[in-house]
Amino acid sequence: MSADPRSFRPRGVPSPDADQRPILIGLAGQPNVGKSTVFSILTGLSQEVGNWPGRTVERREGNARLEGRRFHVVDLPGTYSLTSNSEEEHIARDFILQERPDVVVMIADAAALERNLYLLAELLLLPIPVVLGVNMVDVARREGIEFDAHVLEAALGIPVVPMVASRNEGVSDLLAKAAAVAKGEITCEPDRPEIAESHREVFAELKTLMSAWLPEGVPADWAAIKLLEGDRQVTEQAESWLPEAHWNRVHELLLAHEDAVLDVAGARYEWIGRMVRAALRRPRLGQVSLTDRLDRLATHPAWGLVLLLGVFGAVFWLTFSLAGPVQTWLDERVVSSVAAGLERALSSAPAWVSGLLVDGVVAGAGIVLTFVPILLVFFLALGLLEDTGYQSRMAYVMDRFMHRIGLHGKSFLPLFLGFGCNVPAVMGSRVIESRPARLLTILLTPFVPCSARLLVLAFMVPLFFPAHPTLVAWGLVVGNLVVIAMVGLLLDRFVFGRERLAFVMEMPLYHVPNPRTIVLLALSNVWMFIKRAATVIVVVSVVIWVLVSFPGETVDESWLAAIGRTLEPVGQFMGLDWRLIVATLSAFVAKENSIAALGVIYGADADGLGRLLQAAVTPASALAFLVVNMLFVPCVATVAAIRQETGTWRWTLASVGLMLIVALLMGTIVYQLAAAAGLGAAGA
Amino acid sequence: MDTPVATSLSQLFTGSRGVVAAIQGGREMTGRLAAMGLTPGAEIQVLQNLGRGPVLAKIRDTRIALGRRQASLVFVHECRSQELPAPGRPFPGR
Repeated sequence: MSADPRSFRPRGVPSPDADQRPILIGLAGQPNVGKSTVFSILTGLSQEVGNWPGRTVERREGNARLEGRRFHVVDLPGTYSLTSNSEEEHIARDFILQERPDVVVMIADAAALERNLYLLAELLLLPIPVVLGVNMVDVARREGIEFDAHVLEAALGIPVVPMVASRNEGVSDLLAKAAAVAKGEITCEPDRPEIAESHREVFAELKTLMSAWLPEGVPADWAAIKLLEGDRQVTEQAESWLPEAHWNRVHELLLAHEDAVLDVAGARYEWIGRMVRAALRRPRLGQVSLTDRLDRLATHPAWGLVLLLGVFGAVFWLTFSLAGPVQTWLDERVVSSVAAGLERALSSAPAWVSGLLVDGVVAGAGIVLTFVPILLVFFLALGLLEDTGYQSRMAYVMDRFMHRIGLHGKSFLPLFLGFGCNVPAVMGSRVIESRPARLLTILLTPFVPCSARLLVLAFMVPLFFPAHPTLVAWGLVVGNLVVIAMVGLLLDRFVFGRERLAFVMEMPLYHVPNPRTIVLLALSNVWMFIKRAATVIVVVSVVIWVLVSFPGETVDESWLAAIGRTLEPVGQFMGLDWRLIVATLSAFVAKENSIAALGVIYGADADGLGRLLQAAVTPASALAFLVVNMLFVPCVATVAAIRQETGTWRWTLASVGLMLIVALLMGTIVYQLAAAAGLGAAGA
Repeated sequence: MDTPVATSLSQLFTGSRGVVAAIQGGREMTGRLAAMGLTPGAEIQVLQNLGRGPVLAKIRDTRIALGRRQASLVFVHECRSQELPAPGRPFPGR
């Protein structure tokens, strides 16, 4: 554990025990303090992304090195406090209490030091030494706030390092201080906040009641404070730790002091006030800061909306016009040539081997590959918006609209982006902190008609509705949006019900983004998608290939056709025959496949297919086919992304099931209505 | 809890200043707001209140957007310039 017997060694001397256990650092901090910039400077490309055991939150860790010393840095989720309100807060404190880092490095924002020290007040109750890095002193200075690190250090009794992480200032100093603390070269004797007078007695009694029963490593002071704060996890645990008589008394005390939470918080701020009194100089009242001036535009009810739509448009345009050509190039050059080369190399092998590898595996891998440019550009744009501080303004401006269907202001960007491609849209939902709101966004996103689906729409509508193609196409898209809003309302009401978290969001100061952080984060996000989604996509691609290719020679005799025929009774409600069902099913690999599949089934090229379809399919059926295809079968890449973002198959299957139900329902309604309106005859 | 001059945050106009008097709502919400700097006794300034949608306020150097419902649970002692009677400022019923 943290008790390290190794003796003092002057700095700069290469340590002889370089291959021994590196110093374990927990990197803590509130959100928006530039923690990920510090993390990316410390760990660079060594960072690894995984999940916290049993959780859906990402765990980032990496290695750092300074003067021959090795460090292992774990980036804790950004949290305002360490009370178990959210998954992130759980994770951060469980890490500190259970994995026992040698030192906790907390990053604070110099421009909001008082509020940031609230987290420090909580960290100091835990049995791990803390080093404080005060970041963004440049931004604070611009806002008129100055602070003196030495004075703060003297007051707090722990090392304090002023930093500008975006310019790599102070980061190695921070690491050196952390090493010194971990090795016992600097001893911390922190000043800790005390509980307010009115609850001192209860606090003492709680401590006495629990002290003998707490598991090793759980400090009594901390447990008592957490109980007074009404911390759910500690309260539950205390019940199991304590003998019944003790617990009953504890419970009684807690009921009598329900108001303690504000007192505990008040005492912390009172302590903070004492700590920063001499160290902090604030701006004159009424000084208008840069952030205030920018916010006049960004949060303006009308101009803010205009700006936001402009920014959204730019993100959309960048993502698809920059990445689109690269995607096409990858698809046409790289994937096709690999497929062609493989086919040649396998010319002597049995047909099924080359089919399996070329049409199954390579095709699946090609899909994964072609998503890379889109995701990369998207994550770069998202990182830029987040790092400048503008993202929370977008959420603020959109909240009053999204709020009505139970969504968060931050849900708008993912949904909007869904029109281009659902995959980055689903992954973009990670910017929403509250899990219910995030899940709701993930469930709704695949209903947004992506460009591939709009392509199918653009192909089919003119064939069947030559008189009013635009009207019908717009009608379908608008209808789709209405369905999204309705599904959102219903889910919010009946599934997430009261679980929906309140809208409370910090609006950080604007600052100049750090390119390194943005690029590293985007790269690691894309890499995560490849790592996690690739298997699912390739497997599904192979399965679909098998279903299409066996047992017979043609699609007509394939298993997929057999499935289509089996489903025909259900399809009848929507006017879909087995061919249209097969086309829908094959869209699972990629949405635009449904047209290609129809081509194969009818044995025609694109032009001929149009005429054949006009003859064989009624407008009512075509309409129902389009509705079902717009609402159902999220493509496999989207499903893989949903699996990655929700972290469970349960929610993934729930999402697919929800889409199936909605699609069948809407398909039936539209077909029946259209048939009743006289569109049930061919060639109308 | 409700001293006569405490006004709900959702009723305060853009630009008004005051001191947080009380926060209602569950322990969880109170704790969350406290961690973000919103506690009784803290100075607060309303940066934007459009009469609908979220309210934007500044507390302890932090700009916080609060949903309308949450804002209505935060009560503030408004500080007005001593002499100015500030006519036309609505107070919540009662």
